Amino acid sequence: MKVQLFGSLAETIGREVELEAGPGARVADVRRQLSELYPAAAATLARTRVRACLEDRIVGEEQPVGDEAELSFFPPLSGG
Amino acid sequence: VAVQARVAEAAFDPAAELAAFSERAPGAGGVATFTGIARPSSAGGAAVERLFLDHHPRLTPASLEVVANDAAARFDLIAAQVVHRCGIVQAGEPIVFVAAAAPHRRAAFDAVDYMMDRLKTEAVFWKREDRVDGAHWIEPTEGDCADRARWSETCPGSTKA
Repeated sequence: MKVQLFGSLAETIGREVELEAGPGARVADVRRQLSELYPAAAATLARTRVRACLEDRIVGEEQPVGDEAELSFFPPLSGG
Repeated sequence: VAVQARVAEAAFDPAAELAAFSERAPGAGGVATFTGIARPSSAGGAAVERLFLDHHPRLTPASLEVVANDAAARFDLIAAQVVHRCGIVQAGEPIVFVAAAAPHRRAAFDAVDYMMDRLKTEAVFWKREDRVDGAHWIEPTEGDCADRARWSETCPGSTKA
């Protein structure tokens, strides 16, 4: 599956990475897998304010994600 | 109401934006605008050379449109506009421009204030300050959330980690 990163996460990991989600995977599993692959991003990924976004909608940690899914992780926003 | 929202990838001229905006607001009794400028120093006082604003290809423009449309629905306006930079913004350059045209001044002032408070917490951007002491990613402050709460809707940035 494709995982897109924004803000500080894009800097640490890259804009997009390809992961093997595996059967029955949920957002929390992808978050854990990313943290293991990119230890430098683990502290940021562990924060609840870093939200997961599936098909342009914010989703919870229990949301199932298939291998076709495009999941994003958003650090807290800062505009203006 | 004529509503426009745009993500600007290059530097823009607030005076030119105002001129174009005014042409889209015939019959207005007043136009209020706000231009946000990239500050040359951080909250802690360190010199800031430039900002980098990361953005999302779909959600960023959509977030600007929501704010401009909500202002148009909430206040008695003739036109509303939001322009927000993305990418590298040098200190001293405009980063955001909002404008509201209305039959009477109060709605125009209020709409501009409202759009800025919402943009601070809801515009889909991730801001990095490139300071003399290194690069730092910025997050919304409690003050930003308090400003947002003046308009009595929930602040999405206020969830504690």
